[in-house]
Amino acid sequence: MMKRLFNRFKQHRLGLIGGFILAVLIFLVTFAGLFSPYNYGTQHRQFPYAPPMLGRIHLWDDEKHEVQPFVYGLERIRNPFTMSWIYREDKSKRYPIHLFVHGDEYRLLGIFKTDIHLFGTGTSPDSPGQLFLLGSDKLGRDLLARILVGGRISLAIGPLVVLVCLVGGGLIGGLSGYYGGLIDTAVQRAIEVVMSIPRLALLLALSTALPPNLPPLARFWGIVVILTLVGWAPLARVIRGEFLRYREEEFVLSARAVGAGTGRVMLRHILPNTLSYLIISATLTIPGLIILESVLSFFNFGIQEPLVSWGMLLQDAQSVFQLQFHPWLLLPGGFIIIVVLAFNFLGDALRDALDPHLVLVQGVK
Amino acid sequence: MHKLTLVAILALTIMLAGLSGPAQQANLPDNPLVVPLDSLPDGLGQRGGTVIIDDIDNPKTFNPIVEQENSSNAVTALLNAPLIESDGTPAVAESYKISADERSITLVLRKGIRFSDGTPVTADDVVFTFNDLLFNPDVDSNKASWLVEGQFPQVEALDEQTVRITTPVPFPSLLAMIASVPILPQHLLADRVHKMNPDVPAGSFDRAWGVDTPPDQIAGLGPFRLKSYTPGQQVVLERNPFYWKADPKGTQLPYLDGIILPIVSDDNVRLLRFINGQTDIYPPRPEDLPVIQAKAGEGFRVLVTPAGVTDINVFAFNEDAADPNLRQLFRDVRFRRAMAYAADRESMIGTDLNGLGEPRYGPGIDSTYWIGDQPGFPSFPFDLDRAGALLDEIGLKDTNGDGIREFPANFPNPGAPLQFDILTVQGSTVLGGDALIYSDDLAKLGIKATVTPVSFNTLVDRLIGSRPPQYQVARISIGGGGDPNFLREIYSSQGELHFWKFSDGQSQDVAAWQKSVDQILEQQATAVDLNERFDLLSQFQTLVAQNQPLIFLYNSQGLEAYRQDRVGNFSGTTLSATLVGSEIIFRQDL
Amino acid sequence: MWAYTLRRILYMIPVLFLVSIVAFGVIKLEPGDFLTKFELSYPQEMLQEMRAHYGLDASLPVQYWRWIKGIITKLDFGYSFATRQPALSALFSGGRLIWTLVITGTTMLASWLLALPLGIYSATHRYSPGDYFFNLLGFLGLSIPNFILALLLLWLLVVVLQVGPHWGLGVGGLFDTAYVTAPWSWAKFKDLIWHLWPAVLVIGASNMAAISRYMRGQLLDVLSQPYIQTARAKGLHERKVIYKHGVRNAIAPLVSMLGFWLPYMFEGALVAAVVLQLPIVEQSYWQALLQEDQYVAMSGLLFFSFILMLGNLLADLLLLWADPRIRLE
Repeated sequence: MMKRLFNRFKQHRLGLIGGFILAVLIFLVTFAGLFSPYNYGTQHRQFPYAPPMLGRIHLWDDEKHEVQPFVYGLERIRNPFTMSWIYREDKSKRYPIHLFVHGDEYRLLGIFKTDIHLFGTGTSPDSPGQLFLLGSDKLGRDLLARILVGGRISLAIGPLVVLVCLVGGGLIGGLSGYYGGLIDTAVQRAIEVVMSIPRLALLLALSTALPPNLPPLARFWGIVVILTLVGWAPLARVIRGEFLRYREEEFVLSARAVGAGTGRVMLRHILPNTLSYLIISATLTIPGLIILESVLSFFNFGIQEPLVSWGMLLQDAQSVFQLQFHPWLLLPGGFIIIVVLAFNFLGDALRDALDPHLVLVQGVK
Repeated sequence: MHKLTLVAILALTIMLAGLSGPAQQANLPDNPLVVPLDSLPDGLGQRGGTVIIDDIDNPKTFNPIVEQENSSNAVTALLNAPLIESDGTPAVAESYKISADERSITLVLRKGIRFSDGTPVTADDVVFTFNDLLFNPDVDSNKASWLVEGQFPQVEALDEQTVRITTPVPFPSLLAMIASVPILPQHLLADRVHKMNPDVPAGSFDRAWGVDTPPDQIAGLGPFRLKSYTPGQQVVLERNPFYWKADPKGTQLPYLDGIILPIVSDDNVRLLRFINGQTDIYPPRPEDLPVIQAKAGEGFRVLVTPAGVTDINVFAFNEDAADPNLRQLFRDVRFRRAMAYAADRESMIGTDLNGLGEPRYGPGIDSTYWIGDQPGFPSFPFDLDRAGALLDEIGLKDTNGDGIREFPANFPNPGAPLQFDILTVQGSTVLGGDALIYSDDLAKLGIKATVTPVSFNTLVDRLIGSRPPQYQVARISIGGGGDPNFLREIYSSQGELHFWKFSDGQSQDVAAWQKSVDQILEQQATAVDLNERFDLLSQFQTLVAQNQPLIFLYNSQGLEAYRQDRVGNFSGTTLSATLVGSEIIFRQDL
Repeated sequence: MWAYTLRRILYMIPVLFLVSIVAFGVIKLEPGDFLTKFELSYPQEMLQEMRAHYGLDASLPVQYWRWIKGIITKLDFGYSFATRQPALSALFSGGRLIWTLVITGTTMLASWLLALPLGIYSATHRYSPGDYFFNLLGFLGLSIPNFILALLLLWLLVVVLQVGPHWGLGVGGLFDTAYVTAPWSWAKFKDLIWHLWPAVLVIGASNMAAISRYMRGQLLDVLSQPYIQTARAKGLHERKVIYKHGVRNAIAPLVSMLGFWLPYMFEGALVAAVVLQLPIVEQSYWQALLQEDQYVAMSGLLFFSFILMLGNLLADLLLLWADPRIRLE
């Protein structure tokens, strides 16, 4: 059966692309420090709002007549009239780009202390060579590094919240559907109440309740918690429905007749049948959560300094004129869109593969 | 045609012609204030047109005595006027005389001056405003600063046009304080004051002239009067037909027919509307400058004023911190001086103010007394080496090679790492940016500083609301005033706003220099001789700068922006939306 | 049907009651209260007095009891400290309530009017370039967070097209300054439409995308049914087949989704309110949250829940009316 599943999945080209993109991004953000020349917090105050240098990498070194990628030095001049900075290539300085250079110290995978970066120009944080592939922000921090590190939170929050919702909501919904009676009534009321309040309204209110001096990591978990609080209800309701449906099925009744305990019945008999439905629901809920987190963080109710997420990075692009002068600040938004698309494609493909006739109430957002 | 008819028509025509001219002048008082020509940057203007400037939020009230927020002030400032201006020039009063013993001031009102609804102004209105509103304990006004030796000044009407204000002892700030009082109409407000109308409950006046008041029940002496208010959308002001100022040619001011203040609470949207041509005036943030300057060719103009000296932008180190290590450390002046050397003010100014600011090393104070730019005044230019040397001197060294200094043996918890939280206001790009730069440099010094944004409310609660204050380090800004009496609240160890060492007010263990500061601030309050005051306040500034109870950072330059192709005689704004000199503004494009 | 409606309405009451408890609890979770920001300007004794006066010093259950009692007995939803008026006025004044309903309704209408034809076209012209294009648009609409869409729109209008200098058109809000207090006229109406369409787009983009995709999917399903083949075999005109049989049957489940989309409209409206400065209830709620104006925030939550429940009820009623085959649960 798995083989058939896989074949059906392979037919969905968009799903494959989506899956591939996600895999690549997950790989990149896991080894975030390695794939950027700088740490995400290192300030280069002499180079605020440097434009992306991706197009400024020259491959042919015409002095040494060999293929050696390099960048010219970055020169900054302030326009005295508009008080804005203009960047130019300082052709008098060349900085070759090497592989596996020494740079800012960081912890690979958050554990191993190292200072090796996959590529870069220099050997120290004060290196005069600048390689801002995707540009820099107001404090001269490398946007590529910030996008990669921010991706960790933005990509992790969705699945994390969905997991907790599935487990928590699943438990609640499952027990409620299975046992019925008073528990079921109470849970149903609770689900109704939570689903009667628009998600974002509740989310905003809950986020103001997060203690303000929370250490950054604690704040991250706080956001996971409130997203879960807001998102558990629909999943619980779905699971409840499934458990309700299967409760009276033949195979369940016979299992109970033989003396199987509740937990065994739920886990080994009912759950496998609902699994495909759950997986699809989960995959299609993730994009919505990613967007929710980015909305929260954009308006400064979610992830805040010193943590980074794509939504939080977009705060720098709040003003339309920032877009005009520093359009690269919108790049995190592009990543959000790509990831959401990828998850949507993936979810569609999974659904087609697992159960083409499924019409999901949970929807695509 | 019949001869009589001709004469009648002629007479009628002459009468009608006369009506538009002198009738306009008939609304002016006998002795209008003529604005001098040199105060009109773009010269004489013509009457007509409206100007649009966004207000930052809905006004909460139209009651100038009770209002507290800028959004309300943007409106009430244009509707009211005081007896004299803050620089001493006469306003509603046409002249005044200070008595020989300097204890009283006699003011004469302009003859024929009327409120915006046509009612004549008398001395009774002035007495009413002071005695029944401002000094009335039943009214929520800012009256504490009026107390002279525990008493309010005595305000009495000598006749229909004359008022005398007397204080028990000479009060140097009296003129400035009179300039802050809008003269209000007794005939419209007396029945809202419990003292005068026992039928209304106590505290009624605080709710008088709220935002749902019909415009025809509000009157004042300002250049404009309220025409309409649509909550959430806009405030519309129209010309006050009885305004008491005229231009050198005799044309009654204001030039403008009206001012519209749409309510737009988002900074970015206000900028958007300005650039898109929907508003005529916009007080910009430093980061808006390049955007506006880029449009200079299309009539957009930016005015930059020199950096002020009154605002306080600081990092505060809580000398009552709960952590005993930090408490001992922050009380060490060497540490505070190290922290002053560790502040890269140039970067902060460059990043957060777009370069429009100047570094500061001492307290902000009214410009009359400020000595921060005198040679020899203490300064702490950015120097990580000097900072590091001071930290070494205290004994803070990185003993275990983790990049962070540890506390030496003479501290309560030796060996603990040197780290603290820096609180900033959530969402404030300036305060947050400064803190990020600072923590980055502190990391280079071996100090682990974590920037922690909190809501403004929480910050205030931690600093002022809690006793002792509940923070370690905070980045805060305290705006405006610079009045030495206000400074007493902050720098005096007993002050209500002394938020970095509350314990000073409790114990006898106050540092010697702080005791001197307390004395100085006490003395200057009653010093009448300007030179004496100046000396005292110079000592005050030097003492504070030497001991750095707060790490002073910078003052920002003032920024204004407007459409010079549309607006003439623009003098600027204050408090983020209040137009200054609204009466001489005129439309260029009529 | 009427019995059903009545039952549903009566049922809303206990749910609203529970919602009020949740709303109260969530809002009160934030540390401090409205008066906290005034610690800088007022002496402590005065603040204590004010707290007592406003009842902010009472215990939580007591505060809740007072609030809910006020609602039930006097329809008094509390006091707005920030704007010094009753909380309900703070939420609804200035026509906010009406505009909220107008904008939400218009967005709903526009979403459906635009999305349905798109979905039908996509289904009937499968694999055509038009289909691919609309499919892509649909995916984009679902993936672009609405605040990014709002930013891009504003950028397009102000920076690229420069609608102000070139055509005298304004952005943000509902009207240009000249029309806010002006009496209704054709010009004023046109100005409203000009200000409304970006808001509708921002609020409804994801809606439209989802509806059109859903329509497409449903119609494809229906069109593959045997009775459609029968209809074609009988010689029925193709258009009649599609609309009379196909669309009619495909629409029913869509109608059931009407209520489902309401909460997403709220999210869009909130973002639009902040980024485009629309004078709607969501904006008051936002301001109340920022300023710790607790009663306005609580009442706002209550109001949104109420609207949500009403919307669900209306959607269910619509479904009943549209498809008599559905039995009452």
